[in-house]
Amino acid sequence: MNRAWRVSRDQIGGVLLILLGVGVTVGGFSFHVGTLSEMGSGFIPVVLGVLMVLIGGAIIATEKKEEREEIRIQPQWRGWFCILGGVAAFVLFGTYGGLIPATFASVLIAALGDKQNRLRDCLILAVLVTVFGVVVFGYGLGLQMPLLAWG
Amino acid sequence: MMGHSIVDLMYGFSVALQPGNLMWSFFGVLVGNLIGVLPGMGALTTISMLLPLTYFIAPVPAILMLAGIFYGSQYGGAIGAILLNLPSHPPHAVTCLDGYPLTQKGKGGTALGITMMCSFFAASVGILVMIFLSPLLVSVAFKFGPSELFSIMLMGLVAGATMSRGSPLKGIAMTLFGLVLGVVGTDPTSGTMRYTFGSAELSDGIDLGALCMGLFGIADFLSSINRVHMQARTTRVRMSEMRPSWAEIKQSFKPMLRGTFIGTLFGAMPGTGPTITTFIAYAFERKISRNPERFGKGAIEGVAAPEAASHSKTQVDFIPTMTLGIPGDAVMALLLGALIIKGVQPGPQLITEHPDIFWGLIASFWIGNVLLVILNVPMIGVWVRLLQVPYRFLYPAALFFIAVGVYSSHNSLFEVGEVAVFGVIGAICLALKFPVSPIVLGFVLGPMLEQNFRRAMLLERGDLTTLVTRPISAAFLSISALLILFQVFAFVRSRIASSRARKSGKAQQEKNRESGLQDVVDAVSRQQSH
Repeated sequence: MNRAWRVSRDQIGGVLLILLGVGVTVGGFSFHVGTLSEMGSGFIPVVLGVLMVLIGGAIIATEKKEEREEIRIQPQWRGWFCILGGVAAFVLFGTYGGLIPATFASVLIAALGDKQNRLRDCLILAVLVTVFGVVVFGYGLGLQMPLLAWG
Repeated sequence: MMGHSIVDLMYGFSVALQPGNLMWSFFGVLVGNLIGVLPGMGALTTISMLLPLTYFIAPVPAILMLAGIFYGSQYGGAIGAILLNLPSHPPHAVTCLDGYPLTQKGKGGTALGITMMCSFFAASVGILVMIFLSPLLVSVAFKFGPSELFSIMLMGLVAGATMSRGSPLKGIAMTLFGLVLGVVGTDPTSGTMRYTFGSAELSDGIDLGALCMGLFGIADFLSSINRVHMQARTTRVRMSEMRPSWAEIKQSFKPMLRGTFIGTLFGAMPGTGPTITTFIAYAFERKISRNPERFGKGAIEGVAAPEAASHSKTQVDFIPTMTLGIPGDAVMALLLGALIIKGVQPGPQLITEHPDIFWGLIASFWIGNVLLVILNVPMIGVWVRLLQVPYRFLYPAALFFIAVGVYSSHNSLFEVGEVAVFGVIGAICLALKFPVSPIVLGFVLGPMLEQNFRRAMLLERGDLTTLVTRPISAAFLSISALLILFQVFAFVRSRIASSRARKSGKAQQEKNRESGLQDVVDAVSRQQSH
């Protein structure tokens, strides 16, 4: 527990930018860079990557100590997991199941992320949205996804 | 020239009033308003969510519908800001300052009525400016070569990055990130796959809809889950309350004019977002007011001026978007992207090649605004009830709409996966307080910027000085340079001030008082933290 080593938002952001910038630059060099008169597809990416590194450095350099605030983010693992899980469920059941299971699963899983939602509420919501989705997107707009399909 | 524009406008009305087009326009206003009024659904989220609906219809009705969605969602956002103190679209943050106190005084209906009046007036002025300025700009734009196009896009990006709220460095960083995202995919010049990591799905580049819905939709869910607890207050607004009294109209008439003027002025500058425009309109109104202490406690002028500014600004913003193909802010970038998806390339040739779209769109702006008034007066009760839908039921349903919407654009579940990735990226940006909308601007402008730069350098044999020796290009570049210099100057000054402040305690607060703008920013962040 070393409290003296507090990091600010700007420092994290700056470091992320520098890492990304380095990645982009290295990637850019793997394409044909070329010269100003005959630019290859790597030219602009390299420029952008280098600029990102510079800006990232500038953000770290100019961050003010006195404006640092404690980063207090209470992790919402359940919420985060359920929201991303909801999207993943749509992809999964969209591939192996069709619109009905995909809609039902994604709404149900996403709704479970809120601590106040009881299972009964979530089920009702999922059914309602599924009915609406099938009517509007399935029949109304002719979405290119089978309502129900195996595999 | 003028007579010509009026004839063209008449043609536009004949396009927009065709029953089929009118129906889609009405439908757009209705759903835009419906979704926009829901808590947490800003104009950006609403448009990106409803964008896929337009894939099913022809280009002309599609763009008319999008404009309708845009209007509806903007006005819907104002309803939430005034009645519940919930700005779902950043420009409305200022509207909350006086709009919500008015609601607490039981004058919420009046505030909504004034908002409607101001938005209609300001939009009308913006449309007139657009009608007469666009053909003029087009005649200049035909002289633009790749160098000029590159410079004006660069100016748009620099302005967008530095003039928005928050640190300009962060804005630039996010613009760069957007530019990099725009590079992903097949390079149109050489056919090289760039940053696709060997995935065939990424060779067409990142999907604009997926990017926006991740950044504005999923990211918002991730950062507000189990955190927003809205108390459903029963605010009742009846139709009769929406009609402001003569005194109130008189009181807000001049602020409306000033707001419209400020909005028009800023609209002409690509890149300056609507948020900063509303802040300036509010600060200005308070500065010239005889009793500025009324502001923040329910002054009708504090609603009228920023709302007028935001509407005329967005209207005028359509000029560079449609005539040059250069969007002024994230919303415009999204609309531009939608046009390109429909196979319409905005630019100087748009007016001559697709007069039905250009003039039809302008006519539909007016029709959209009239529809908005007609729709909102009787529907206000319904909107108020919608405002009380709890977030915990809203976000799972919205998540489904996002997923199905992204899927419908290319029937690709891979792109639905992209949404989740950008959701996480957006949530990280929000947590680190990096602005998200410059990413979209960079993403849309990036490929055009690269193409024009490469073309310009090819034409001039790699001679960079051509960018400064051609007069139009030089003008745009010097404006960009001035914007950056101004930021550097402001930074150095604040550094000196804060080092003095450390010595003499209160100096910092004194300095903040100086600029009325800083005050407004503080007031907004204070109100939001409540």
